[in-house]
Amino acid sequence: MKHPIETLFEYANERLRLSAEEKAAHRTTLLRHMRGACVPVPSPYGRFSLGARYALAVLAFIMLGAGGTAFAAEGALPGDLLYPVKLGVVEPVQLALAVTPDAKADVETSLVSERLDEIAQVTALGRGIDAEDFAVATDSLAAHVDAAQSAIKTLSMQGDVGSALQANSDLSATLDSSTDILNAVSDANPENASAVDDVVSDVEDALQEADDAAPSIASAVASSTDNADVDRSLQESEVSTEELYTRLKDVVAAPPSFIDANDLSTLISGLAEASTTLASARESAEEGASGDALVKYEEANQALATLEALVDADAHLNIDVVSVEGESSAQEQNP
Amino acid sequence: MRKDIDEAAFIAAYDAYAEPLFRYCYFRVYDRERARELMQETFTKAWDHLQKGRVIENMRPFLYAVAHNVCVNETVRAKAFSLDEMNERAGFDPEDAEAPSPERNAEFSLLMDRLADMRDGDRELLTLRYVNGLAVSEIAEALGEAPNTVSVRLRRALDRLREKMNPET
Repeated sequence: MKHPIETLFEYANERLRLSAEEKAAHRTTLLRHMRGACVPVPSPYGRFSLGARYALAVLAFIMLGAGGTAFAAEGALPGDLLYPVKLGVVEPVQLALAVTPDAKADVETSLVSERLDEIAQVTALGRGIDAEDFAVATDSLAAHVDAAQSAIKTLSMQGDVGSALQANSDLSATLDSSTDILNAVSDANPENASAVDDVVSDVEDALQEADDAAPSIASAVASSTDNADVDRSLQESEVSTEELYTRLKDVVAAPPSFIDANDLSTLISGLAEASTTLASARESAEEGASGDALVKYEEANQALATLEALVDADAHLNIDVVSVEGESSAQEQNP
Repeated sequence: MRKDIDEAAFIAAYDAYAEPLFRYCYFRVYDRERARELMQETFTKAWDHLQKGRVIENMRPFLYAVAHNVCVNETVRAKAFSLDEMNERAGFDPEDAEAPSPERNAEFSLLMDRLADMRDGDRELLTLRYVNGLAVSEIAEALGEAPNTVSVRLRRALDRLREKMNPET
């Protein structure tokens, strides 16, 4: 019997393929390598004058001298002895090193996330919350939300609309996941419900503001003539969104013990929605519609980041948050 | 003519050549996961090479030359394949509705088996020509050989594969 060898090779070509996920994952790894290998990372100290560098060095010396204290303070919660050190020493240093509006928006958003996480943790611990200690945390939260939104507006006004879109999306994801997390811990710890409910109300207002700002930023991205800004943001967004998607897919593929059947169903449907948006984003990117692709990647990023925050909260707070999110989404769809 | 390769152009090259380079690596090692790693290594090494300011005349043969070097110390992971093993190793889906007949699958399994048994150089030439679709001139550029030499070696390799596939003829 004769064997049509060329046809068999063609068969190999047709069948031996990388999946879209595999290809995207390798692409992400490659991009990370390319940036690590060739993009010079400017020293954050380079922008400071010599005097400011000296002051920072002195501050670093003090911090190193009190290194153990500063390190211990990083995990402090409202009411802890070291909490004032965290708010008064550790975080101002982080902010001082964020010199660009983009970096400032990132740090402010991470501090918003930190405050909300602290509030969720102390509530979930079920220990009594001193009103004064709680007020310190909520005042700091309000200040960082304002500062994050202000940094996003600065980015928009400066025409760095790609970065503004990413920062606004990050802030929205943080605020969105936090409302679900705080509601869940409040339900589980009714003795602290009224204090937490006030925080939720403030967070919802801030989320509304971020959501209101999103369309105009997206529109500015779509009409931006600064291709370099949009392309850079697109590449960053693509990498982080594909990584997020892969991480969540891994959770679904091998669910940890705290993920029950309801959680899994919520994650699967969340991933399916994100997958559709991602496919559309990839298509836009391939067509060269960078602005459109960036808006879609950020849309998927926000949804996935919210899901991941819920999974993290489920793991660390020992409260079922993921499927609660799924139920609320279902209720929204079927009122 | 030198072409300056920036990040966007290199990612475009990745999008175009990741699949065929993965297949090339697969036929060098017969292991899907290892082939993915080698394909990844090919692109990272190629990028590092470009960052040193090296001149690239033609991206496709250049990438295959890098893949050739990356795979040079690799060996075929297994010499015998059942159909199931082949499906598993290559990541084929046996339930795939578009899959050809069981007879064609069996023939393909035989091809994989015979190819694995061939000399590394023969298998590489056949892969580059028939799996990756490179022209003889491109294979010559990738392997640093004269086109005539490649042409002769390729014909002999194909003859040897035919003999292995049809021992009675």
